[in-house]
Amino acid sequence: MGTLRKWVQALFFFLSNGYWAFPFTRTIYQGPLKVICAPGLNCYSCPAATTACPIGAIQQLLGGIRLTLETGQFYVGLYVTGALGIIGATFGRMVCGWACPFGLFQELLHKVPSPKFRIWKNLRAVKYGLLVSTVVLLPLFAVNDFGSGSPWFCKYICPAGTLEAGLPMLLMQPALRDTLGVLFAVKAVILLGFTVWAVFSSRPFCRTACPLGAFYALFSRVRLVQLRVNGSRCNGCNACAQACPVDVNISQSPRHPECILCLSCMTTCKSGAVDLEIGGIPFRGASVSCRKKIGPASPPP
Amino acid sequence: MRITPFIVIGIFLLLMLIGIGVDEPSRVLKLSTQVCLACIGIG
Repeated sequence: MGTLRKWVQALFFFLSNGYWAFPFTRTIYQGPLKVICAPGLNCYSCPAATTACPIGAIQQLLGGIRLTLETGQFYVGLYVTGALGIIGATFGRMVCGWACPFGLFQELLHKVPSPKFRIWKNLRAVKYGLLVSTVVLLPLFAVNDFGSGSPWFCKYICPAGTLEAGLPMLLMQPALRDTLGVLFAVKAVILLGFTVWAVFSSRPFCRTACPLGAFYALFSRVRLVQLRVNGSRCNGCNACAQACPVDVNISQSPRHPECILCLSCMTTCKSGAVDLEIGGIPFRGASVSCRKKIGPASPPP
Repeated sequence: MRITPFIVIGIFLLLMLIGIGVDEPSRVLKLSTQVCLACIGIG
């Protein structure tokens, strides 16, 4: 299952960043695919990006809402919110575990041999605050003299934007280096901070600061794809909790908002107590294939 | 069979269709094909 997930992550990375002509054109992809919102966090100013970042798009739409309404255009973010909601209600944070390029980046960093530390659980709440404040309220209400708001999360925080767009643009267009100021330095420090943190802790940005992950987490109880723990099979060994990259004890809380459905728990569980269900219907194929690899299920206690 | 996910998906599908109806995708396309340097902390 882990290998399949890596392949899917790589596939989504290349689907989201499939414009490899940028070293020659020295600009970003400007084709029609950019009307599609990427499921994961992937900056659309990245030279290789082939899709739109939903978080960037929603901030831009909310920031320009006054101007567009004045001109009779009803661009209030319904298309982007609708697309995100469909993804969220179907997969929820499974997107974080399977389709987010920045999640993959952090996972690879975490493979660097080093002491590993857990993340303080209260920091999980920060991402919800960032979603409400920097993605919705500030772009909507902190406006300039022309009534236009800024994409606060992209502009002041997003390390994915710094990594995928800021740094490549500086490499491609050296003249831009003269325009760098304190803002870019702050963003570079944020990127560096999360990069180093990801070596020592699993997915720190996803768990503490990602507004897209926070949005998808809102669907944890109603999403179509869920994990299910069979209490009669669970022997309480806690192997699932130890295998979980986001420190969730799935046997106690199978619909936990932090769960990214990486299915490490299902692969690890020797008693076959963890199953995947789609719309309430058990999808046993996945757990059976896992158990074939690790051996027969132990009898229930 | 759980019905709630399908209801939620239906609601967001409706939102997306309204967004398409008011031509919001063209605005998204326009935004995403331009490099906003200020948005990535440059300039």
